[in-house]
Amino acid sequence: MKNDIYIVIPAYNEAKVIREVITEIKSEGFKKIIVIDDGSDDQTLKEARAEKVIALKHVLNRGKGAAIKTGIEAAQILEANIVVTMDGDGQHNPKDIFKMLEKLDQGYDVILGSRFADKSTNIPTFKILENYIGNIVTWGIYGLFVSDSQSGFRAYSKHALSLIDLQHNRYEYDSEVIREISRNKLKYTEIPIEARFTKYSMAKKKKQNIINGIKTLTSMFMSA
Amino acid sequence: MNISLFSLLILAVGLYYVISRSIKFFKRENANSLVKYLTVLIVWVFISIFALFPSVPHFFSTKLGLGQNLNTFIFAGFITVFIFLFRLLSIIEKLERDITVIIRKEALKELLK
Repeated sequence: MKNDIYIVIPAYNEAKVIREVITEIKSEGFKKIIVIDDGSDDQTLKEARAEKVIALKHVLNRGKGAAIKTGIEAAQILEANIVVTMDGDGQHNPKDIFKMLEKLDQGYDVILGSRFADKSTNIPTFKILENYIGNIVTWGIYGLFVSDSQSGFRAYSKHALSLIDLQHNRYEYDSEVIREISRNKLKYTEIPIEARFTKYSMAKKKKQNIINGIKTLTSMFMSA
Repeated sequence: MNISLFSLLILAVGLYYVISRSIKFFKRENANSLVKYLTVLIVWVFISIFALFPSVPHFFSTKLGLGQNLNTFIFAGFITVFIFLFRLLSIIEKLERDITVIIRKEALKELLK
């Protein structure tokens, strides 16, 4: 079954950790990995290629959403049956993929990894607040309430991928998926996932500052 | 003539833009077209005149037959600016998407080799 599962990883300036992320996924038995280097200034592409995975390059930075979409299109060209998207900073634990696959087996179209579904997880307060605002706005605009609208760890069936039509390039992409689930009446569920908030991943996330947050919200309102 | 500090400030900003844009245009420092340059010039010249002579807008509004309805005129101006702004945002968004499509095609070429 693992032969038709593709793991898509958008990566922007992740040269320091990308090999480790790929190795960890491989160690769980998933060999079909697509890394999209989203216009990095560092050696992300070279590092990913050193791990003998499919590594594609955006010559300009187009955003996380655009990179995921490129990865999904690549997986579709390669006739993937299931696509799992994960962040490139090592925040996600590939062991959680198995839980997602179980749910897909049960007939769900989209599985949303939720960092907040498990209340015992130690998550920084500002992340909880940031996510809650995102959830409320997503619910207000797209009409579906989920516990982690900004999670990048998701799994899609072939059927879902054929229906989901995404346009946004940047962080609003995460919420746009929720809109597409609602619009296409896809069967979805959320599962708790482990979120590893390391010093490295937290430093990266700081770049998603308040100005970017406002831009994301404006873009979501304009596309509502 | 009684000129307020605020009027002087606006006049200074207006003069700065008129002079700097003129220098840039004549030195060909930026890729501005003549139409764009003239538009910037006219807008800032009018703003400077209005700041210096606040009675001028009233003169125009009377001549145009708007009378006391100058506020409506200004409001219509704001609406026009917002329409232009949204139009521009839509164009930028479309351009962004087109750029992404081209970049995606280029990236996927590697896969299809």
